[in-house]
Amino acid sequence: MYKSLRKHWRLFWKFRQLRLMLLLEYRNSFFFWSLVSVLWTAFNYFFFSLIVSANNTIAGWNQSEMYVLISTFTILDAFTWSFFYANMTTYTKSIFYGEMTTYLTRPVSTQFLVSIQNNSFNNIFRLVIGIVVLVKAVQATQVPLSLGTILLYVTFMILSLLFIYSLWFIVATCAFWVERLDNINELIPATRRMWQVPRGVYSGLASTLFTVILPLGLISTIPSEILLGKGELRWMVYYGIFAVGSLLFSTWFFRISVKRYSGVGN
Amino acid sequence: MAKYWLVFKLSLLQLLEYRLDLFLGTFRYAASIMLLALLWMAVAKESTAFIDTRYLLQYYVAAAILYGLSNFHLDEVEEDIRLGYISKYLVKPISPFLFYFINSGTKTFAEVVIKAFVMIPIAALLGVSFGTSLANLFIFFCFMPVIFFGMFSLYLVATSLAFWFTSVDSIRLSIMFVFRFLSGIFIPILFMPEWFQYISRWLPFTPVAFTPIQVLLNKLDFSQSLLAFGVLLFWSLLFFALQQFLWRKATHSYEATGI
Repeated sequence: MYKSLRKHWRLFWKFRQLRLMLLLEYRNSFFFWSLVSVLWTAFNYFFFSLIVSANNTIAGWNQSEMYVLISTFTILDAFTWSFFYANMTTYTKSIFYGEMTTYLTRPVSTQFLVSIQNNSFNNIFRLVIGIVVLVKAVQATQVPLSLGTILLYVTFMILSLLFIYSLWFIVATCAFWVERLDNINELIPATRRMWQVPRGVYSGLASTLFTVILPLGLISTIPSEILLGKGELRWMVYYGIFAVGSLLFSTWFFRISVKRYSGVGN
Repeated sequence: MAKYWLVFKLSLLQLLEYRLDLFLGTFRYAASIMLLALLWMAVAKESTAFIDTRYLLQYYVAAAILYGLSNFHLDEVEEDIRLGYISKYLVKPISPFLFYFINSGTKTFAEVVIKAFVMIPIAALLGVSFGTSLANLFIFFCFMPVIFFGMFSLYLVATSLAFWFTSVDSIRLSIMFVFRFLSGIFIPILFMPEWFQYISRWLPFTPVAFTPIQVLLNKLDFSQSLLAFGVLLFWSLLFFALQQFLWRKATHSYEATGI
């Protein structure tokens, strides 16, 4: 067990090393993509500042609280684009073009390998902006912070990342069941706006759908609520169970789906 | 013209080959844009100032339909330039500009039409109808091809840089983001600062989304619509001229062997 964990850990960092070397090779691309990322982040903050300025609150969240939420979203988004997008694109392509065989024959977990082999560093600035604004916004709310709160926030951020990863992986794994679906990897990024807003924005059927059945509306809201001292235990427990359950389901779904793979001759 | 008609038919066939993919590609951002209407409704619920939620609902339905006209990718063109496949258009009696224009245009307009056919009846069922006058509908339809022409020319300007650089998709995407933000696709320009509303009349951004939506919702009179159309046409021709200049310069120095 320890040996296997050590092997996977070393493999993870080896891939990061390779990606860093690639980054240094194409520096111009890194510069422009970082610009895109910063532009998009600035747009998000400006967009919400415009909306908040219309009323000073959104679904009961004041301006500072909204900045905490948007910063949480920004941090999650930085990871989403850095890790998930690059890996899921390679993963689905490998299924459609028959390159999956290469991963299946490697002496490591296939799910692990297809999930960590790629990453981009273009969103580093997005991550930095998110963290800086988060710190400033938390200071502005004047909510007393304890070490426990910060640890709980970090735990739920990890759970949120796991949830996004699992959802994306489940959707990407559907590539085994369909002939060709280039847009399959655009599905989860297209829903990102759903976790950019407080869960109170959803009412009626939308509320049941996006906070209970498929709790996309909780991804940024739950960690933000924890940091702002207004987290509700029942929602935290529900969301935690759902996130871990999604991860287990994604692994199970992959095992079932990979049996449909029939690529040869790679 | 027969060869370009064939390009149109082939592009359409290519688009209809994987229908589930077409469906996902068409509607992937529609839901995301419609969510903005929900967000504004939540703001309006608590707001003391009057926010016309009906107008916002109509606005975002129209924005979701129009989105594709200014948000499309020219990755294939970039790849053709980088890998040298562009040579086949340079040695054959076919205009690369027209080929790519028809190819992208077919896909873009097919997506817009599909979205309109699906979203307008659903919106009507939910009580959101546009009530556009016939004259405004005509002006709106005049806007659509010019928006695509202008944006296509602009994106092709950025893509032409692939003759000199390894990767230019980030440059194209930067332009796209600026347009997404300033054209009013995500935020109606009415909510922007007044100084921006004033200068935006002369910039290429608002005629791409905000102005045609206002026309569709009967919010502009004829002279305002005409002025906005004139601004759009001016910028589109400017982008086209720039694209032609860059393309000529690039193809003169372009070299490829053994393709």
